[in-house]
Amino acid sequence: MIRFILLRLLRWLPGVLLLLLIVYALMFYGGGDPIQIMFSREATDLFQPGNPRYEALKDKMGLNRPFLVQFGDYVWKAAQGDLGLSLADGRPVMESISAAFPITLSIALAATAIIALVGIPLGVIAALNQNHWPDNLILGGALFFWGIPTFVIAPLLMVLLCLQFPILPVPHGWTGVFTVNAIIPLTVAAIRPMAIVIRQARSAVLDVLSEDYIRTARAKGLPEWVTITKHALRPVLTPVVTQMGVVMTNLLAGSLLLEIVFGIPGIGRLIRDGILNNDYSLLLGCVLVVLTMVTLTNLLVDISYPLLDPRLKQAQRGDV
Amino acid sequence: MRRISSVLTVLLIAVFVLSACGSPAAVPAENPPTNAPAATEAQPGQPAAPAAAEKILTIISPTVNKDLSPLRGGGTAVRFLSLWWAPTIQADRTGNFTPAVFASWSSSPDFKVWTFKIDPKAVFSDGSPITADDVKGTWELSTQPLTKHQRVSLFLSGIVGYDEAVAGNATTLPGIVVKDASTLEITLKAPDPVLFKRIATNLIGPVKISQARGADGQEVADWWHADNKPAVSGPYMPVLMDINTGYSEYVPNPYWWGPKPKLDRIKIVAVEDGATAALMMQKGQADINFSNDLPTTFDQFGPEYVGTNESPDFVIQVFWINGSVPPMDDINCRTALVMAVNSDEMFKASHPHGPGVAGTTLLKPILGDKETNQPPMNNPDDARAAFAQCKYKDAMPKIYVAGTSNPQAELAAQILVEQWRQVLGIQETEFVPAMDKLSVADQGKVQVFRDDVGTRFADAPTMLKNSVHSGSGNAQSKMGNYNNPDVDRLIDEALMLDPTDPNRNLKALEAEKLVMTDYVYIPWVAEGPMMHHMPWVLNFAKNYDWQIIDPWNLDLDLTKRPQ
Amino acid sequence: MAPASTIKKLTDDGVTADEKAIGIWRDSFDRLLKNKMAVLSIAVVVILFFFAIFGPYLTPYDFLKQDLSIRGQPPSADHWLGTDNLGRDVLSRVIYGARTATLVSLLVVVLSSLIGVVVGSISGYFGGKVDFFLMWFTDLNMAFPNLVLGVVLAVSLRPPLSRWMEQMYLSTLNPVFRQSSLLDLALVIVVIVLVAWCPYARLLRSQVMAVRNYNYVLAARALGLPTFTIVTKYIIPNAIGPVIVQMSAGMGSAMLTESALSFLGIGIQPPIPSWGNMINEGLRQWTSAPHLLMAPALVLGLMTVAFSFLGDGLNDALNPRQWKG
Repeated sequence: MIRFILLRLLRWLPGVLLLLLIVYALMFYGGGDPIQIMFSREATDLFQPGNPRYEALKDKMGLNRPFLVQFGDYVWKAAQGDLGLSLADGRPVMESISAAFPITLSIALAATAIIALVGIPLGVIAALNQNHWPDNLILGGALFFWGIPTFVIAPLLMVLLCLQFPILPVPHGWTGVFTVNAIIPLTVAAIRPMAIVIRQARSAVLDVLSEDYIRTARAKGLPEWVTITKHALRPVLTPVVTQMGVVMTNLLAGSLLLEIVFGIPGIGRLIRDGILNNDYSLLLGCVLVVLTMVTLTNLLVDISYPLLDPRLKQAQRGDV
Repeated sequence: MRRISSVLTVLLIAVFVLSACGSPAAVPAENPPTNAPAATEAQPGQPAAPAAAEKILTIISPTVNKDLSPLRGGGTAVRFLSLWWAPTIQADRTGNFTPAVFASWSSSPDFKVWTFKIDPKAVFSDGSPITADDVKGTWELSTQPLTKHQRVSLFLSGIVGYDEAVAGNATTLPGIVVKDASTLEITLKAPDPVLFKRIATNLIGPVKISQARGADGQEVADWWHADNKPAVSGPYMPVLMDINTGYSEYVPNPYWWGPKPKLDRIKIVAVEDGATAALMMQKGQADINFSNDLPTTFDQFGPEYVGTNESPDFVIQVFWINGSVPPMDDINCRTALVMAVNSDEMFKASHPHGPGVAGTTLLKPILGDKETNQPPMNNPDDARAAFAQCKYKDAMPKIYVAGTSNPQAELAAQILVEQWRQVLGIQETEFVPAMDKLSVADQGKVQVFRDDVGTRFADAPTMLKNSVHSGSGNAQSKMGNYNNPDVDRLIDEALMLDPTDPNRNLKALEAEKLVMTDYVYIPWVAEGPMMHHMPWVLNFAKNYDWQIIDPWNLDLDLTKRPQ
Repeated sequence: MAPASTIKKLTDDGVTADEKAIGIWRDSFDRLLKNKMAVLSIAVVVILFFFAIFGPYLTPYDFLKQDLSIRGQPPSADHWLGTDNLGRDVLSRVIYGARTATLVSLLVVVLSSLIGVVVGSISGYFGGKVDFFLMWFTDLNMAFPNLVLGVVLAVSLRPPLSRWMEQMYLSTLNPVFRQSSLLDLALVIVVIVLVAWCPYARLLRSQVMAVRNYNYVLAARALGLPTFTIVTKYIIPNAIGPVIVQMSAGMGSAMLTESALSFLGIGIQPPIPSWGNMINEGLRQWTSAPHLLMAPALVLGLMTVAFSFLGDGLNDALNPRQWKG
């Protein structure tokens, strides 16, 4: 198991470093002069190139070193949990991220849980009623909601549930998963990815139902629900969990739109702040966190395969 | 199946745990205030009032402020300063100045040396008196470049030693002398008859300097954070700040020396989406909103809320022209671009119901109709004629318009470029909304920059000094080092005259006339005050610094607020 | 020296491969036509393309023309979808937005499928280290959220590129360099393509892996046909079905990503209309002028739904095994 995890990590780690290098290079050459960004609010030429004060600060921040040295330094410090200082407010980037990250993660986890608990059963129901009205209703509904972008469905739900039928308070900020404030954002977060999961679950069930052993089970005269829960569901979960990994990944990063619309102080909002203020040390930190999380999610998905499908257990022991 | 359900259980537990740590803002109400000695002491003696009767005011901030230092002089965080910091002298909207930290002031006959006396009752929230050293230290700290005070030149320029301090070459101001614990003497380089009006603000109100300034003469990081228990001078004091979510809470300051504050608690929440903020106001989830107007605000909330029933401020919004960048370095191009624009149209689009009036000249908001210059002429034919003389007309550089991030400014800018397109056929323009702050480094890029400028009291030469004098930050950055020696001379002469001398205004008008023939700005709007409070908020009024006047009087009529 | 015809005989009994292919396509098309939702989606997509191409010539108003006397009007006989805050006709803008969306999504789909097909077939055909490296990179790319990538690219590339274009214009006076909307478009397309090619590569790789060991491919290899010919002639045509399905889904998601980027203010810049930036403008006043939000949002929603139904229909039509259930 440990060997398996290590192998997986070996596969991902260089990738994360490569992507980080690309993003760092983009920011380094295209992002602008960090010192000028730091002092962009002041109409002073104290911190402009040529001024000794500027040069001194540049030296102090290590900005005169070659690109790769600076990148290596960044990675080395990042590994120790130091992501540098934000250019806009001079605070440690790590501080902002450690405040924002649990929020984004809890939204992603809660939305994933909702998606799993609602989406998989709906997909199964649709498959069992293939081409009948429940199937059409569920699939049609899923496709419909998939078509509406997050930034449209969010305000529409707000108008509907807060103004037209005022049953909920206007959500703003983040007060935790189990509060009324979270109902609308979580619904919005879950509704689009759920469509994908429903479809995935449906087609997986359809595939499984045509397998011989299900037919055997049915022929044995087992009650239908026993057949479904005992024999059909488990193999269905493998492709669905793969899909859930993708969904989780997208939720982690895709909360960008969600957090902007609802003013949720998560990673997405930090990324937006980073864009607005040209604060690329913050942006870089966010990218790093997102990359790490994506890697971990994929790792978790990989690990969970053998749990779900014993046939894959060998894969864990053997080479990848 | 057992494995699957255990995976799900683990997932759910993870959600629980994370939601517990990921929700700092949910806890504050139950937590005992960390910085409220009086509140905790008072509790055993008198039983806590029932929760329903608690007067809790909620204010919406349009941005998440990570920096709540009172020494920044800009940004949305300073709009709440008067809640927790007392002004030096308080200014209201009608030009009255009332004592605050400074109980009295006087000047030498030539207006070069001023003496300010601190109110002996004035104390910080830790009980220690506000001393002359605190004022001197605060002002010295504000001038340091690393403090990043955005408006310090409005208040303190002209004091002996100011220039060295803002250049980062000195940490002290020799022009400020502490006579005794409650007396300050200020020496100016040139006479200024209105110094007391200039320094009448919350933006340089005294802070406890032993707390705010370190041994190196620079600001101590985060000294203002509620966790560090700052000694504040205002009627309320912070008990909780979450700078990551933009949430903060204030309770009455037990040592406040003025009238007793009427609210039990003030909450500031950050809501960045204007439409959400409006919805929260409508539903009674918030009481005061410091965001900009949306096109719909008037229809939703009416004239009282928008503030159209108030007279405009002396603050104007202008599209400044950077004359150092092509095509603006050619006066003919500038003339054409200014004349092609109809400010009325811009105003109507951005402020269909006000508040304020369409922009005209720089001085009209102060001097009124009777003695102002003619506003810049909007004349498409003249604009075209001037454009024919423009040396860039065949190879027009792209024109960048910056400072358009708020919805109203963006609307006005859209009208602006559309008029250029219709009148002059100028096609290529680009908005740079993110660049709401302009540094010298950006001068090479941006030709047009929307920003506000103005004076905090009705005085014509001060207005010009802050906007078009070559020493002003506005002229140096947004106008690309605009420098007309005749304009500077006239402004400097006017500033030294007694406010009662009619020549003060006449010289300013003369200077303004020169500025207008340089075609360096396109007027947009003379701003009205943004009121933005619901009818159940009582005694709410703001001054020109956007500060709440007499914050201790701020009150709530809970019977009117929807539950 | 007639390997091609030999293979045709090998693959089949009596009918040539070409004829059989035509038959399969016709069957698939018939199946597609039986699917009502798919037919409806095709109609919607055709209408979209029509308006994207001819729409701007049909509308009576200029999508940029401001008329302040008719600011913020609700829908009326003159302006079917009303006017926005600057008095511009919303319908004309939505139609021009269709052009933006179509252009972006078509180019994205074409470019990303090309890249994906090339990478996927190389990976699948050669296998081994090449495969490992290419798939490692594909997975990595797929895992990286495209919106974040878009943000980073737009923030870092836009300013220098726009400065470069301006310099080029001033030195050459070539009006092409004046079209900053071209830069927007190019950036948006690059950002989306950079991530969108991955599913194609994965898809093609698995198809190629499956087909690689079929008899006719082995035979072709034994006959010493060049690799390139084998891949293009015998392998890719077999994989084209799933690619078409993916293309249809890709159209929809490219449109969504485009509008998301524009919504965030890093895609198509105003005043050039894109559904995303129109939604962004409309959001500010959804309570009082809902038509400003609803018009672009509904069209965008309709299009993405149509493309996903079409993708479903194509999937059922081209992969008949599933159709039978």
